[in-house]
Parts: sequence; C-alpha cells; structure tokens
Amino acid sequence: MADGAARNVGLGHLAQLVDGLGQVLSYGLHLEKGAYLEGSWDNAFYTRQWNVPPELDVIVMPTTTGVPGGAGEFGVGTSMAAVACAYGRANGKMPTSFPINHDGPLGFEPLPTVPPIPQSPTDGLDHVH
Amino acid sequence: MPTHTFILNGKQVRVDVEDDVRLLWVLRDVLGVTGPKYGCGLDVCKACTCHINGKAFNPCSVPVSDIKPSDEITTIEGLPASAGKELHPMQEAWLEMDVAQCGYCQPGQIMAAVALVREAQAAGREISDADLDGIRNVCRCGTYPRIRQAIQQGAAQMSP
Repeated sequence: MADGAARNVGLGHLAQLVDGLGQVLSYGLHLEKGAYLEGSWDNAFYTRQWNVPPELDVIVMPTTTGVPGGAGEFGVGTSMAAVACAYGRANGKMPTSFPINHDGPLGFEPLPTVPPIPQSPTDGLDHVH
Repeated sequence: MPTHTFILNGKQVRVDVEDDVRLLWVLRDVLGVTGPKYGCGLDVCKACTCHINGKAFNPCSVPVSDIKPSDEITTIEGLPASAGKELHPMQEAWLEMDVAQCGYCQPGQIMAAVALVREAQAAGREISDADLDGIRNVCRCGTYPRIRQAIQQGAAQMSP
C-alpha cells in the first residue's frame, strides 16, 4: 500500500472516531408528538470542529479472517464503543443509554413546530468574517 | 418585480426577484450557481458559505435587497479565478489530502477556510488551533481532522 493511501486509511478512521464521539456524548434527537425538537445543527449536537481531539492515533489491525471487518462506516460502531468505554472508565460508572446527555435538560430553545415555519434570518451581513 | 444587480464571480449580473428572497436562492435557482449548498437556511450549518468582498458570509441569511450593485460575491465556482489559477491552492490542498467523503459541505468548508487564512494573514500570523476550532461549518461525515490538515497545507501555499 502506498504511503499516501495508508495515510488516508488512517485519516478515514479519524472521521469514524469523530462520529463515535458525537454518538456517545451529545448527538441525539428528541421526538415529541411526531416532531423532532431539534431544528438545526446548533440543536442536534453532532461533533463540530472544536470537539475534534488534538491528538489521535489510529491503528489498523492486520486482517485475520480475509473478509472486511472494521474499515469505513463499520468503524463507527467500534469507535463509539471505545468512546463509551473511555467515558465509563473516566467517570467510574458505565453509561447505558446514548447519547449520555439525552435525558438531561435541553441545551437549546426548540423552534416552533406549527406553521408558519420561521423564515430564514435576514442579518447575514452582520456576521461577515 | 424589483431588479437587483451585483458582481458575481467577476461579472455584473441582474436578476428580477422579490426583495426578501434570500441570496442563496437567487444564486442557486435564478442564476443556476449551485456550488453554495443549502443545508439549514438558518446561518447555522454554513454549507452555503461564500465571500462578499473577500470575506466569508452565508447567503441563506441575506435578503437579495441587502446586496449593493458594487458588492462582489464569490462562490466556489469563482474561487480559482480569485487566485488566477485553474484551482485555488486551498482546493489543491483539499485534493492532495483527499478530504471529502460525501462532499456536500466541502464548497462551504473551502470558502470558510480561505477567508480564515486571509484573516490570519492580514493580521500577520499563522493559522492557529484556536482559529481552526472557530470554524462552525458542519461536516456530518466527520472529516474534521482532514479539513484541519488541508487548511494548514493550503495556507502555506496562499501568498499573503
């Protein structure tokens, strides 16, 4: 395998770990009366750039079965389990439902779920950067 | 219907559209420029990030009537020309690092990255981890680590 390809396999798994982080810690949806309370990515707390671990080593184990076992999206389950175990060890109590913040107070104000649907904001030029 | 005019990727364009239509829909549906992606329409996901006069902004949250005739709007389609090349150095870095997974957020990520590097260079400093942590663009595939690496590589190739 060329160096570049090996590097990209590793980086690919970083993405799966990022997924596992969100799934365990914060990325859930609340279904209430047939509508999700989460109205945007600022409500559904999927991993964002500031949550990415500063250091991370991904070790791709040699195959033992000759069939695909853990690469790509398969890796999400593995990384989620790893994050959950790490969280459990750090806190001394194994979490049993995910994301762990799901039953806590909502971290946002839900948008209205009855029409009219709110229009897009109009203050975009106040946030040029 | 009111007429609006502005500079899009180096060319003056005119559109007949209601004042309160957000610029993203003018770009995508009226002018057929589909690089800026619709994600949330709430200025949250940043998938539609473009540049206005060289700085990043989100056209989903700007009524077309707020855009002045002299405003220069640059979408991902116009980014290479802004560097006078076939591809902008940030796009080259993206390809080299093989950043994209599904790719939907990537035009916005690249536009945000270029604006961030320009901002840091204007302040006479290198891109820092704090700068990268400040990027709000969502990537649901989780390619964040690759995005960070590509931005640092692209920044090294961007002339201040």
